[in-house]
This record gives sequence, C-alpha cells and structure tokens, in this order.
Amino acid sequence: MNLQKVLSNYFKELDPDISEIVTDVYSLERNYMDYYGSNKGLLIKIKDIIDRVASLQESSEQKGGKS
Amino acid sequence: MKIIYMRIINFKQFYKEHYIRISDSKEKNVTIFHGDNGAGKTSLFTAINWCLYGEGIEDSGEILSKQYYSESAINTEMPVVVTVGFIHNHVEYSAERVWKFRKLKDESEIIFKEFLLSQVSQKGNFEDVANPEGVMDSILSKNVREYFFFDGEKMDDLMRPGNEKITQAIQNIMKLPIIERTEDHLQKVKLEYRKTIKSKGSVKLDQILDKKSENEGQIEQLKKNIEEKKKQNSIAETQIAQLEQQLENSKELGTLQSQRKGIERQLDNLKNLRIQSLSKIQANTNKIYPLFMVCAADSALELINQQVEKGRIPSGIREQFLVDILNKEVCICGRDFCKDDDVYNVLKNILESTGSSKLEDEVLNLRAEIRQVNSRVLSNTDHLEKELQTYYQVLQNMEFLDKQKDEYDRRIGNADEVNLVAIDQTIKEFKTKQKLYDQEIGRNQERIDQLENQIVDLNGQIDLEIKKENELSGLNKREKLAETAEKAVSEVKEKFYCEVRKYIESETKEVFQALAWKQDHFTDIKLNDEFQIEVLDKWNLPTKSELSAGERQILSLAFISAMARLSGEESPIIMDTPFARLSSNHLIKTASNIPKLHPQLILFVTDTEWNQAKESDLINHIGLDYNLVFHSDGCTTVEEGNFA
Repeated sequence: MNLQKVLSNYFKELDPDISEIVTDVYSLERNYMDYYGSNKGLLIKIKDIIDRVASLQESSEQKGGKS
Repeated sequence: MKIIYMRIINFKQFYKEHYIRISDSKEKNVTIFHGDNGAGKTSLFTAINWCLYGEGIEDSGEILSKQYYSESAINTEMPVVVTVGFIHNHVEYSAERVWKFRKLKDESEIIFKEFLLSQVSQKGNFEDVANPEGVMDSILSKNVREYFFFDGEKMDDLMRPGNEKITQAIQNIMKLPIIERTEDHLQKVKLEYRKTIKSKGSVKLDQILDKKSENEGQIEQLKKNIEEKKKQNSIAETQIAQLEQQLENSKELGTLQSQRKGIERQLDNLKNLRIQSLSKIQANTNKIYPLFMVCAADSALELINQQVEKGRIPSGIREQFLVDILNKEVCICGRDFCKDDDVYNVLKNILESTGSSKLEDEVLNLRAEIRQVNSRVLSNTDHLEKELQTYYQVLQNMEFLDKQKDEYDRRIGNADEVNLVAIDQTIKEFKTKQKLYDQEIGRNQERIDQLENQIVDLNGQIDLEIKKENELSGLNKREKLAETAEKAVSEVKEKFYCEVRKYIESETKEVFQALAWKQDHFTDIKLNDEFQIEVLDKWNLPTKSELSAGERQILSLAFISAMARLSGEESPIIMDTPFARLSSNHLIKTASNIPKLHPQLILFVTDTEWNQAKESDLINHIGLDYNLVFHSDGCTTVEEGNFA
C-alpha cells in the first residue's frame, strides 16, 4: 500500500478545482514541513493557490458569459 | 534508499578510520554486526543516526575517540567524521558529518561542525547538494526515521499501554500532520477571507446610490427651475425691450401730450382769470352807473353854484358866522353886546330869518357828493378799462392757447394717453425681477455645482464600493473554495484514516501472526479511532496488557514492519539488539521472517542473539557480517565475518 497514492486517489476523486487546491496545498504543506519547519509565508502561498483556481473559474465564467 | 557503506573516523571507540561495506543485494539483504555487550554495536547504530540526522548522541557521552584525544597534543584539531554512502532513486549519495575538536589542557572544545551531502554526477564526480539537511529529510524523513532505525531493547516500550508513540508513529507515517496542517491552514485561510469580507463588506453602496439619485433629482429640479427662471428672464427681457421701444416711441407723443397738458393747464388758468376778470368788470360796471347821472349832477351843481353865487342859498359859513357872533356876544366891529341888546336880537332874528339851512346843506352836500361820485366814477371807469384790457388780454391768450391746443390735438390725434413714468416704472420692475431671476439662477447653479461635485465624489465612492463588491465577490468565491477544500480534506482524512487503519491492522496482524508462536491465541489486531493498537484473543477480548515483554517486542516489530511498508519509503531497517527479549521460538521465527519484510536489513546483535539467529533462515539472507572486537585499549575494530 502506497499511502501517497491512496491519498492522491482520494484527492483525485474530488471536484477538479477542489482537487487542485487540496493537492497543491498538501504538497506545499509537505514541502514546508520537510524543508522549512516553519509556517512563515505558508498562508500566503495557500491563498495564491486558491486565488489561481478562483481566477481560472472567474475567467471561465466570463468567457461563458460572453459567449 | 539503500546504504552501501559507512566510514567512521575517531567516533567513540572507533579510533582512526574504519570503512565498512553494507550489503545492498536483493537476496542477501542483511548486514549483521555482532559482538559482546559494549563492543560498539550501539555506537555504530548511533553513528548512522548522527551522520544522517545529527541525532542520537545526546545520551551517549563524548563522540570523540578517547584514544585519539589522549594521543593528541594540546591545541591539536581533532576531527570526528562519519560518512554514510547510499543509493536513492538510482543516484549515489554521500552524507558526511564532521565535527572538529580542539584539545585543551583537560578537555576539548568543538570548533567546527559541518554536514555535507554530495551526489555523484553523471560524470562520476561528487557534487555538493544545496540544503543538505532538507534533501536528506526528503530522502528519509526525520519523522519516520525511528521506525527504520530503532533500538530493539526499547522496542517493547512501544506497545506498553498508554504509550502515545503508536499514535505518533501512525500519524507520522500517514503524513497525518501534513493532512491536519492542510486542513488547519485551509481553515485559517478561510477565516482570514471571512475576516476580510467582514471588514470590507458594507451596505454603503445602496446608501451612496440613493444619495446620488437624490442629488440627481435635486439637480434635475434645479435645472428645471433655472430653465423656468431663464424663460421668465427672457420674457422680462422681451417685455423690457418692448417697453423701452414703447418708451422710445412714446417719447415724442408723450412730450406732445405733456406739452398739451401744459397748454390745457394754462387755459384752465386763463379761464379762471377770465372769470375773475368778468367778475371784476361786473363789479366795476356796477360801480359806474352814476356815470349816467354825471350830466344831471353837473347841471344840478351848476344850478346850485349859481344860486349860491346869487346868495340865495346861504352858505353855512354865514350861518356859522352868526352863530359864532351870538355865542361870543362880540360884534364884528368889536362892540360888545348882550342878549338883551337889540343887536343880539337883530342878529338872532337874522339868523332865524334865514330859516333852515338844511336844504342849503343838502344841496351843498349833494354837490359835494356829486363831485365825489363823479370822481369815483371816473376812477372806476379807469379800473373797468384796465380790467377790460386784462379781460381782452386773457381772451387773446386763450385764443392763442386754443390754437396751440388745436395744433397739439391735431398732432396727437386719437392716440391714447401715454404714461411714460408708468412705462419706466414697469421697466424698472421687470429689471428688478430679472435681477431676482438672475440671483435665483445663480444660487441654483451654485447648488447644482455643489451637487455635481458631490456626485463626482459619490461616483468615486460608488466605484470604490463596486470595486469592493467585486473584490468581495472574489473573496467570497475564495472563501467558499477554502471552505470546500477544508471540508474535502476533512472527509478525505476520515476515509484515509479508515483505509490506513484497516491496512495497519491487516499488516500488523499478518506479521505478528507470522512471528508470534501463539498464532491461534492471538486472533486479531485492532486500531481504535485514536490509533491505539489492541490485540484480541480468540475470545475476541483485548489482551494487550497481558502480553509478555517478548510478545510486546514481536508486536512492536510487526507494527514497525507494517509502518515501514506503509510509509512507502524504500529504506533500510536498522535494528539494534532486535531479538534481545525474545525467547528462542520467537527469535527463530522473527529472524527467519524479518529479511522478507524489508529490502535492506542492518542488524546489530549480541553474540547470544547471533548464535541463536544463526539457527534461523536469516543465515541465508546475510550479505555481509561483521564482528565487533573490543580491545583492551578501549578501541573497537570491525572485522569481516565469514557467513556471507
């Protein structure tokens, strides 16, 4: 059993946008924990991830609205 | 990760340099170090931990070789070096930790510390890796290290009731802290978004829009008012122009009318004068009627005068003369007489014989009166004449003025009476109104300017609010994403826990049953929600508290094996005295099975353990074996054995 794979599969089952956020935030958390041992700047990076997904949604909504 | 060699220099009892190969063979995956108690097994175990993670030396005394220290002169630099070579993901690494000591009189001081991680490049050179600690941690995380590198003597503690390490172990292996941090941080981000939304959100936009509409309404009204005033102003302007034109046009007529009025006034005066003059003429005429009697009076006067001259009419003087003489009783000749004298009587008779002088007086008065009348008549006649002259003059003037008036009437014709003053007054009134309109327009314009400025300001606020609302909408979306992600992580975590729990139970049970000799007695292994491990017996009753030390060690080993496999990390299992508490049954079973559970096994065993383990299947998996020989000088040498 590969835990990362199990977890990754669970993440993949989520709604694509949420899956992207959760996967990226998890990966970010893992890197922070493994490399930095501190949360400095972490929340901003999480916001960046959410912002990226939200912006894509907004962009998609605008395109949908225009067409 | 597979360890391929170790190099030790002056670490504890390993004096000078020792190079030790580690078996990385798939089949013969066990490297075994055996020796007496105190020979240096734990020191080697510690050396690996210290090299890779800088840990494990806290309770192990000085790491500098005492032999080396004793041989070194004061102020000499004394290096302690442990190098571990390993292969990870087909790349060869060399991890090296170096501490340098300086020898003082009775002690030593650390003067240098370094950890280097280098990897063999494609050209075959060792190249230093940046962030060596971080990269090492990514190869085999510090958090899970203790489930790969563990002390068998303490292993059974893991399964003692109340030990939290199991939970921690599971959490670490499952990367649970990462999941929980993910969940926790998503929640924090969500709350931050919420806080921002709260701080930025407002109902202001509606109020501002209402205010703007109100201002626009007011401006509209004021503009209408201005237009109305402008219209009125324009009307006033037109009227003023008309009136001024009328004034201009009427000036001549007005002057004529005014002059005619002057003539009329003069005529009125003359009429009055004529009436007065006529009255005077009438009065004078009445006074001169005696004029018609003047001839008769003159005739009568002449007659009277003739009679007087003839003496027929005594004069009053004579009568008075006689009276005076009688009264004085003195004759005109000077002779006195008295009343008894004849003279007196004569004179008295004369006086009496003259009779009454009344007629004579009347005639004389009449004559005087006639004379006076004549005089007055003459005077009145003069007055009359003068008055008549005046009258005729008045009539002449009136005739002249009538002619003038006729001329004016002709020129003025039937034109209405022109009231220039009234027109002028009306113009003034209109101009005053215009001023008032202009003032009102000015005030309204000023108010419009104020309101428009306010609208500009309100537009700015509206833009800001709309921007805020857009921002809020964006924030809201992000908050929802964070919330949904947080919930998703929570749900995934629960599912993941459940699956992993079952896996650990299954794996631990499989290994435990394979290693424990009472397979029929211990029927199941369970993890509760808090990840506390429990062993169930054949009656399905919890029996962990009844496990012997050896059984606890077996359970720990089974659990650690499950955890190591679960972690997905390909890493060696390094165990210090793994079989110390095991009875021969368990030892044989464990030693036989454990090489099959892990890709690489490095065991530090006592001679006793080793002698028993040699009886197991372990012997077939030994790739390299070393004998640790402790010498009387306090140093240990590593001697390659002959079981490989």
